Amino acid sequence: MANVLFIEPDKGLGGTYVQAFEHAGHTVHMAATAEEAIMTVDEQRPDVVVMELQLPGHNGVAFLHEFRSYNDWSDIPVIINTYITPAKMDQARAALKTDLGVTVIMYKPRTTLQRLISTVNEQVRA
Amino acid sequence: MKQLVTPAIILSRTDYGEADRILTMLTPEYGKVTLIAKGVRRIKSKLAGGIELFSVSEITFIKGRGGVGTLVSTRLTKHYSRVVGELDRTMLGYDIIKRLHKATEDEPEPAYFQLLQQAFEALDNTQIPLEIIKVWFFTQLLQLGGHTPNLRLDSQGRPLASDQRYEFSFDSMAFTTSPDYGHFNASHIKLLRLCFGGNTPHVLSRIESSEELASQLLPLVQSLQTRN
Amino acid sequence: MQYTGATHSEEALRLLASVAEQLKFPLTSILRKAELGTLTGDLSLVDANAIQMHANAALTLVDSYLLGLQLLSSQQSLPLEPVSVSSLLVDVAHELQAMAKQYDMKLELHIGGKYEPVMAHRAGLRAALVSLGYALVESYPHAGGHIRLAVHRTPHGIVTGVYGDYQQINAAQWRTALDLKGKAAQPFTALTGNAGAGLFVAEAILQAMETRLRVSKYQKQKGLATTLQPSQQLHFV
Repeated sequence: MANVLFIEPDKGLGGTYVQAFEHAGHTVHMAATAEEAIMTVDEQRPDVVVMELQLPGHNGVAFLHEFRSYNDWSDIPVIINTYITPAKMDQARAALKTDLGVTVIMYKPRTTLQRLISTVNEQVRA
Repeated sequence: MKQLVTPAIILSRTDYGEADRILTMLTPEYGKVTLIAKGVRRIKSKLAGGIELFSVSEITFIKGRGGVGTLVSTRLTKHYSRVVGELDRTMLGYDIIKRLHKATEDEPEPAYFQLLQQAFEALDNTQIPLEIIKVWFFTQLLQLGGHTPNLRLDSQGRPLASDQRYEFSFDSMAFTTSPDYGHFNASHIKLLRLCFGGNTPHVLSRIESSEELASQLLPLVQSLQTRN
Repeated sequence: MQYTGATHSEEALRLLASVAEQLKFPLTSILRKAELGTLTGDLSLVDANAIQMHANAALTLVDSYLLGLQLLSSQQSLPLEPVSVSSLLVDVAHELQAMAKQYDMKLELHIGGKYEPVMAHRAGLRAALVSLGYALVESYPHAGGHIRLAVHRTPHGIVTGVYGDYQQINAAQWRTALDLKGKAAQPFTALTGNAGAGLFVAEAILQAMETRLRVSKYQKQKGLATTLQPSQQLHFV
């Protein structure tokens, strides 16, 4: 049972994630933008963040730079679950993992709910 | 205490105590400055206002003892919003900031501010291919660091020829003739001359085949930057 | 619509790329909603599988199209690597299994022998074969049947493709279909009643790798396949 923050601008899909993760026994908070996400992290420190990179306004990378600049959030695992294709992520992958502490990068259209839930569970256990 | 006003670009932010943040900023007059922004931690919207990345702001600050000043106020003057519209551009933007942060560790020249601002301008222009911005940026860093390669004479002291193929010699910081295996030709050298000659990425992007030439030159300029 | 100096065809291409990117959103929502239905028990597994199979097929088409666009636009610097066609086909077969099962078809893998690696864009070649596979499974002329993913050697190179009971197709019809793609709603009626987009996407990706799809025969079956050249420099140890 973990406190999961989803940063997901698609309300419909976000609703599906909430239902699936609550069904799996987790507590879920949603944010649709980077600003909302920072405020939510401040109020409800999550055990793990699952996020889309393509956000309205400030993108996910801007969020990560801000998020990681706060010492007490530096150890919260971050899973990227994004519409950006693996081929386009290639160049950014190393920097995201090394500089911004991203632990897993997943391609959203091909990531089933079960796989996402088990990945979150692994990150929380680690 | 005297309040100083200057344009500034933020390089990094970190926590300080319960409610403060330490900001490292690049300015044209004072080089790199480290400032405490008191009481801003998590109170205001963190990703807006005068202290966000990919922006130029006008800041008012007081110089402090021991190298850390105090930020009095900020006013956003320009935000390069298109940099955050595309992942590759954003990642390159952060990489450029990181490299400049490192390059300005010891004696920060005011020229670095202009370089960073020009880099943001280029990144904000989606018509300019990223390969051109990368090659341009690395050549500017090399030039500011005093490491310009010889683009007039080859490693034997002969004028570079338009019909020759070359490889690059890192020892002599010059091109060396390689008729059979040379990766570089007159077009590559011409683009390098234009880069080192103070032309902007926008101008470079108007040159025929510049994107392809830039992507072929990128490993060379990256290696030059790493070695220097 | 305002044109900023680009030609009409460039504008149309960009618009289509934008539509393709956007289509990923509802397709992903459909997939996850169907899966949620099985987790909560609101949707039967049979229905969920059918929904997911069709949504995955559509997503594959979209992804393959976007990859094809990317490869065609970066042709001069296409990153090639040695690819084992045999092991790639195993991966492709795994992807096509769910769809073949839905159509009550038997999917077979024919790898007759050992083959040298070919220099190719791995993700592109995979996407082309998957796209081709989906299109040919969908177009099978009758219920049930055998469809084959095969790799075999000819004097021209290593041939890999999808084969089945498509006896009515020939090279001339395929050439005409390529000419009609995007212009006719049914450019390749000898094979399929739909737009055949999966075939054309596969063809576009292969073109970026300087090869083509051709009508091909293998062990009394017909299909579409491509010829790849083994790398002269590389051998598996």
